Amino acid sequence: MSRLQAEHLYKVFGRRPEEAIQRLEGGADRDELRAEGTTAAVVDASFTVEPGQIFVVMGLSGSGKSTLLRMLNGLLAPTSGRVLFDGQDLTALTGGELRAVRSRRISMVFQHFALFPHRSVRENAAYGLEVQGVPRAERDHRAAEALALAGLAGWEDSWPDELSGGMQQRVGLARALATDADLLLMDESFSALDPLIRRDMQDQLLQLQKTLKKTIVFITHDLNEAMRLGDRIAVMRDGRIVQLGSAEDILVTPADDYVASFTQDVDRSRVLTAGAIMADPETVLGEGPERRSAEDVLAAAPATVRADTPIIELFTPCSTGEAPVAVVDGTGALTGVVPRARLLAVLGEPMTPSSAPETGPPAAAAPAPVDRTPAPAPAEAEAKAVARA
Amino acid sequence: MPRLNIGDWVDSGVDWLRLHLEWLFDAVSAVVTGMYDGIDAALSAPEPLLFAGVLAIAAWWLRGLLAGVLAFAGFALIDSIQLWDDAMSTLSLVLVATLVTLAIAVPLGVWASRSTTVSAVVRPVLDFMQTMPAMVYLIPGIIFFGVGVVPGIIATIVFALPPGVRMTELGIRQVDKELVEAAEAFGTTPRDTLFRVQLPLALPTIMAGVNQVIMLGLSMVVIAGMVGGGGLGGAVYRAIGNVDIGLGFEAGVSIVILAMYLDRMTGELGRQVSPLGRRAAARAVAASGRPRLRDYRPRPAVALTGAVVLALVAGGIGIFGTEKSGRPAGAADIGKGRQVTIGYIPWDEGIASTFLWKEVLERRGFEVETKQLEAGALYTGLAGGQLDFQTDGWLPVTHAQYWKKYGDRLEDLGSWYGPTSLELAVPSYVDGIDSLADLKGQSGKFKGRIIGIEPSAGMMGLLDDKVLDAYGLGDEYEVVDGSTPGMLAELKRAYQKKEPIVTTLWSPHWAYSTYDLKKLKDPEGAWGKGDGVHTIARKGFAADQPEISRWLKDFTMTEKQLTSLEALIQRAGTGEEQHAVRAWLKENPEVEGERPPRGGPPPRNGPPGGRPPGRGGPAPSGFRPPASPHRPPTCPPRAPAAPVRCAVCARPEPEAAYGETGPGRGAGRMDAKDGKDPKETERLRVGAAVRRRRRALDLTLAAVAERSGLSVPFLSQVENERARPSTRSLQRVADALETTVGRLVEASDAARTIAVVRAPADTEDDLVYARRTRRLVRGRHQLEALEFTGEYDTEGEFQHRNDEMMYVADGAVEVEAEGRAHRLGRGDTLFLSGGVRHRWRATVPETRLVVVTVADHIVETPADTTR
Repeated sequence: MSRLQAEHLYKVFGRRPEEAIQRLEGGADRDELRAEGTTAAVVDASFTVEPGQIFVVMGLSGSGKSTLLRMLNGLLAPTSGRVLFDGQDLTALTGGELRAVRSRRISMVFQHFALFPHRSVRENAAYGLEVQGVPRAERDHRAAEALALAGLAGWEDSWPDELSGGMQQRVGLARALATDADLLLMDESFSALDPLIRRDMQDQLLQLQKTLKKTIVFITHDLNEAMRLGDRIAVMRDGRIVQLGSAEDILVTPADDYVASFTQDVDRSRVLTAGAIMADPETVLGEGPERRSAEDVLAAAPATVRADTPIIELFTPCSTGEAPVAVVDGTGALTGVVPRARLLAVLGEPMTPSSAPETGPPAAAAPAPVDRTPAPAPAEAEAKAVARA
Repeated sequence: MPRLNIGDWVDSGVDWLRLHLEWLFDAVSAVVTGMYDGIDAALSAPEPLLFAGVLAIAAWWLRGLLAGVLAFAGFALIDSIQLWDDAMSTLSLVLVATLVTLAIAVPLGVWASRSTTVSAVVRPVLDFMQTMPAMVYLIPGIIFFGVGVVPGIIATIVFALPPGVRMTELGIRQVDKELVEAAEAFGTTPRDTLFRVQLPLALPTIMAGVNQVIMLGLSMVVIAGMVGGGGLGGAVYRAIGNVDIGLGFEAGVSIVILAMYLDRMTGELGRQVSPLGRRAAARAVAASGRPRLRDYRPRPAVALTGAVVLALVAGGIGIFGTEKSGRPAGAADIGKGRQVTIGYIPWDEGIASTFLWKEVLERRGFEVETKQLEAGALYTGLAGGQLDFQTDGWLPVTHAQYWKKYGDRLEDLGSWYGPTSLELAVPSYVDGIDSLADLKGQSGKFKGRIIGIEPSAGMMGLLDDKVLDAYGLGDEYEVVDGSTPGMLAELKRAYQKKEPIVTTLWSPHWAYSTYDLKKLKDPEGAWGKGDGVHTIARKGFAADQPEISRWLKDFTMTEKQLTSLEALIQRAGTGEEQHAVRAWLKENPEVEGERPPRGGPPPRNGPPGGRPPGRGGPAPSGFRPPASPHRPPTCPPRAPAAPVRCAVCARPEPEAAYGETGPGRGAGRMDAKDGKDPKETERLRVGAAVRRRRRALDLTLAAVAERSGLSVPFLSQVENERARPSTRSLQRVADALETTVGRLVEASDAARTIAVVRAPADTEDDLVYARRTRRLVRGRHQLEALEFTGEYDTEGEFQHRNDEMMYVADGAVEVEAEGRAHRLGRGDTLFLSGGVRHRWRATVPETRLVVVTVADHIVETPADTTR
């Protein structure tokens, strides 16, 4: 069962929201509604998040991503649609039940940290436990553990205003971790940090995720961040999810010009992995008497890499000879090859559906443009390559 | 455009509310009064300096050593200018108002911050409350809650509520949305969000609101003083009424001290209470490096211990202190503790008579409470039954509007002093203007202006409606509305520059003795007859308190008694009125005492019909009009609104009432050099008297210094009249010299007196035969002399302690002495030695009789007289 499932979520601000939804379902444009003073923040958003996944929602400001996030823990009630958390419909809960869920099972990290300035670091980290009614000794203990996880051991008695931005967000993270909630909602949590710190924090989050295996919904407007963190990425535009898929899917087969324009500035060589662009070994084995064995290919290859190797590491080997680089699995068996031509092709402009040739090169790796089906199995997701330069 | 009678609707609305919600108002009144009394009792109980210490420790703890020292110095100053009790009353008033305000404002602010609807509804209401002049609330306040502290507190609450609500709402709305969202995201209930996040973070703003509430409350105490709120506001209000700059300044400074203390303390408390403030303070300390001595603050525990110890000591002393006071021993307990409430307008004659009655009634076993009020409030309070009586009703003219409005709910207990008069006055250097008629055609001289007083005052209406028309001045002159202090200031300015000026003025008024002015004659009689100063009681008072009502009906005061009492009270200062009355009663025992202790009626009570001995009570006075309710005034007031002030300002100088004039020098002219001006004598030249008395007792300066606790140099300066002793110091000197302040003062001013009393100028026919009494010796002297004109009859017997002589200047008199009748004609004299019982009556209307007596206070003991 999915941990989190959003079914046709709508959020409309303004007068007569129900009527607006009918019109949206009938194909009305968001701008038409806005002219009447009604704002459709989220339109028909559906997705699922599996346990242990980092699900990134990416979009520019005003695209409705923060509204979407706030419907996931009930801070905002959807105008229509359902949110299923572990099979439980959050939209059907009473205020008290919803608060109980938020206090124990869903926690949140904010863009501007949202630390309580009148509470010490320890009291901030213990806030969620305090709301739960955990006795002081225990909550102090658990808060200290969470702070240590976030790399702030020894700072318990400090005050938020004494900490740097990165450290403050670590407190925010510790506060979210301390309640031991299954689902972590992160609202542009690293956007307010400077780039170096942001990178540190991303690394730390990935590191933590290895051991904690939380389910995380992460909001960002930064595609690089989305690519680094996300097992699956939803790209939002004007309240709608325009593409849903892995980092490679979005890079390699953007759903539309909008998504494509996003991906222009991404350093593809660090995001794309050998596994994502490799061709089937068959394409180089040849036919008939000239057919070579996998061993031949391996022997001829200038380098042998794993599927999760970023393609930037393939350039040097490819430049040394004509033979394709071999991609092997954990047992050393050949799973694919990366010929020089293919390597060069993926560095070019991303191919949009209109411009993509019928027989697009990485056909094997190209998923459907918009994926509304559940993501691949968790094991596969875990094994997925994420560049860590 | 039709006239919308909003005022009438409000009026009837107020009546309806009073009738139907009386239980509610009574309950509110009881709660607020209870709170006020409790807090006031707690604050006033401790010895002032010890309590000042407690306050100083609080300041030290909150703000540091310097603040503590300054706080102590400030409160010590308040104590030393004898405004401590007033200051504590004011503090109590402000505290009660603040507590109630916050109890309403904070929840309302929280509500408004959570609901935009509430906020939208509340905002205009708050605007209305804040901008509506606070005075407007007072009169309905009195109608609902009665005079006293309650309407003052309610008005303060109404006035101070808006910033409390606004700052609370603002503070909560200002809390970072993300923080509130964070709290909600962790499942915090709305209530906990409020208490754990919003309120703590809004606290600095809310405390700024508290601070504003307190400051506004303090700014309202003066207005509260006008409706009987008492305290420093009462003192200020009284100072304004009397144009008493000194008292005004002292009371003002006390308010400033209180305001600064409260401001700084609440400001700092805001920092201490709010977690954010504590953080900021801690960071500041960390940034400033090592602590310095002046920054040292006692830890809360230490400060608390110190404060508690001081408070215990203070409380203990306070408890012992209260045992000191109590009813004067040996008084007849007629009242048996029955309670009487007297209201008064802070004009000199009102203060003097009120405290005189307070003292007299307390001696007779009543419990008396006095309340100082603005005139409108006073009558409203009487009509509503919250006050029992007042002694300063100017009827039938000046207070006519009040009598018209409330007369059916009041009882007139008769006039005890009079008559008074209203007039226009010009400085004597303005030649050729002696009568109102002379003003015609002279408007160029006076720039066409008549300097008036408050437009609401009865006399202003009279001036506009009748007087100007009577002399055809309406087209030439414009009456400049203003205020009494403004008029006096304008008069002073013009007088100093010798510019022509016409002002509205009235008698008695001290301006006549300070400046050389002439009253403009009123041949048309447009101003009407003068007022009498009446005692006015609530309806049913005579039935409830028959004894008091009888005493009040019999009450009269002469000019001399009144001025000497006023002078003593003025010297004693605010808060010491009753001590002054006691001292005065010692000198004038005959005024008190149901049975005059020495059996003799006061000769200087002058008018025949003083107090015949052995009647068990003062006899009805001969020249007082019957105690009947006054008819509505013949001259309807111009404005129906309650006047802020009636046409009487300050010290009555009764000589003016008797028309002290010089025939050749213009009507109403007063010559300050001639007249023995009480203001002059008030500049105590007691030095010579002190020296004489000291030498009579054969004491050295050092001995007096030792006895009095004053320094030898100071005493020396006093004797040489280079220093002016305070009342307190003078009291000590008097104690050391085994005499009283009154005697010293008397000896001093009498020693230099040369006084001319001019013949009356008015020779209009209707006045010639009027029964009138004229004082020929003013001030307190060994001799007293009175001239009686018209058909007087003593209607009772006199018996004086000292010798008496009478001279018939005109007409004929029949005297009965020790049972024998003597007929006296023009030019005859009669001598009566002390102790002779006698009575007399004039047998023809044009009689003028001069009576000269040795004053009652002259006794034969040489040690008693310092002359």
